[in-house]
Amino acid sequence: MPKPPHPPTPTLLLAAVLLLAGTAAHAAKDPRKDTFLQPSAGVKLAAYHGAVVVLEPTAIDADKDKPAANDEVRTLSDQLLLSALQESGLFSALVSVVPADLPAEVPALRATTHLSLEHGSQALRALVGFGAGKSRLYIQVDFADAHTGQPVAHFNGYGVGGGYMTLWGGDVASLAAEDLEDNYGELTELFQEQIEGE
Amino acid sequence: MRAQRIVFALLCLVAVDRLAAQVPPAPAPAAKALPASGSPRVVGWTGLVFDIKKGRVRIAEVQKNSPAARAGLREKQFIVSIGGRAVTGELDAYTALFGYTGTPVEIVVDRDGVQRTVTVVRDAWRPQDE
Repeated sequence: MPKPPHPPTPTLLLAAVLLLAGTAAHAAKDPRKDTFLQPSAGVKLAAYHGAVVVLEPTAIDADKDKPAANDEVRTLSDQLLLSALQESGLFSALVSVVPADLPAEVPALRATTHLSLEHGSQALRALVGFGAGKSRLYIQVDFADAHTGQPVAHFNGYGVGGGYMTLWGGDVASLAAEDLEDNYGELTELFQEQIEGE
Repeated sequence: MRAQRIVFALLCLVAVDRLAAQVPPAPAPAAKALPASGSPRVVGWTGLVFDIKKGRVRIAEVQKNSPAARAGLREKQFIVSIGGRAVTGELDAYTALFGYTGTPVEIVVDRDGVQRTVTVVRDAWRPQDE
C-alpha cells in the first residue's frame, strides 16, 4: 500500500515564506541593483544632444589583492563606455580634456565613472556553479556640465557574473566585460529615450 | 552783369541739386565683423571610428559620405599621428581629432608599413538619424 505524501509542516511553510519574502524585500531595497538614468532636477537632456563629452578615467573599488584584474576591468570600462557613446551617435565629440577654445555655447558634458567590483570566487563558480561564487559589479556614471560643473544626470547599473555554470568559472574580467557592455548600451538607450521624451 | 552772375549761381545750384538726387543713398555702415574668437564655432566631424589592434590605434570604420571617406581614408589603416601628435589610445585619437567645422587636420596612416599623410577637412556634426 503506497504511503500517503507527508504534508509539509506549518512551521516549514512559514519559514519558506519568510525566507522568500526576506530575499525579495532585500533585493527590492538595494538601489544599487537597479538600472536607471536619472536626470537632475530641472535639467533637459535634449540640451546636451550633440554635446562634447569629456571622459574621465574609470575609478574602481575592488579587492586590493587583485590589482591586475582590477586594472583590466578599469581599462575595459573605459573602452566600452567610449565605444557605446561613439556608436550611439548622440554626441559630437569625445575627448579626454575640455578643449581650451571650447565656446561656452557649445554644450559639454563630463562623464565620471565609478565601479564597485566584488570578485566572488572563480573556484566556486567552476566547481559548484548555480550562483555560487558569483561576481558583482556596481556601475555609476555621473554626467555634469563641463562648463559649470552642475550635475546633469546619474546612471546606475548592475551586473552579476557566473550566475549559472560557466566554463572554468569565468575570469572576473570576462564576466565584467559582458556586464559593462550591456550596461553602457542601456545607458545610451536610456539617454536617447529621455531626449525623445522631452 | 550782376544779374548774369546771380542767374549762373542759381543754375549751378539747380544742377548740383539734380546730381545729388541721382546719387544713390550712401549704404548703411557694414555690421562690425565678429572677431575670430567671438565667431560661432561648430564642432567638426570627420566620420572616423577607431579601435585597438595589436596595441595600435586602427581605423575600424569610415562612415559613408564623411570627410574621412572623401579624403581617401580606409578601414584597417593604422594611425601614426593626428595633427602632428602621436596617438596611443582610442580616446587619445578622438581628442586629437577634435576641431571645428571647416578646419583641416593632417592624419598620418600606416598600411602594410607604408605611411602616407592625408588631410581631412572637418564637416559639421549632425545626429545620425538625419
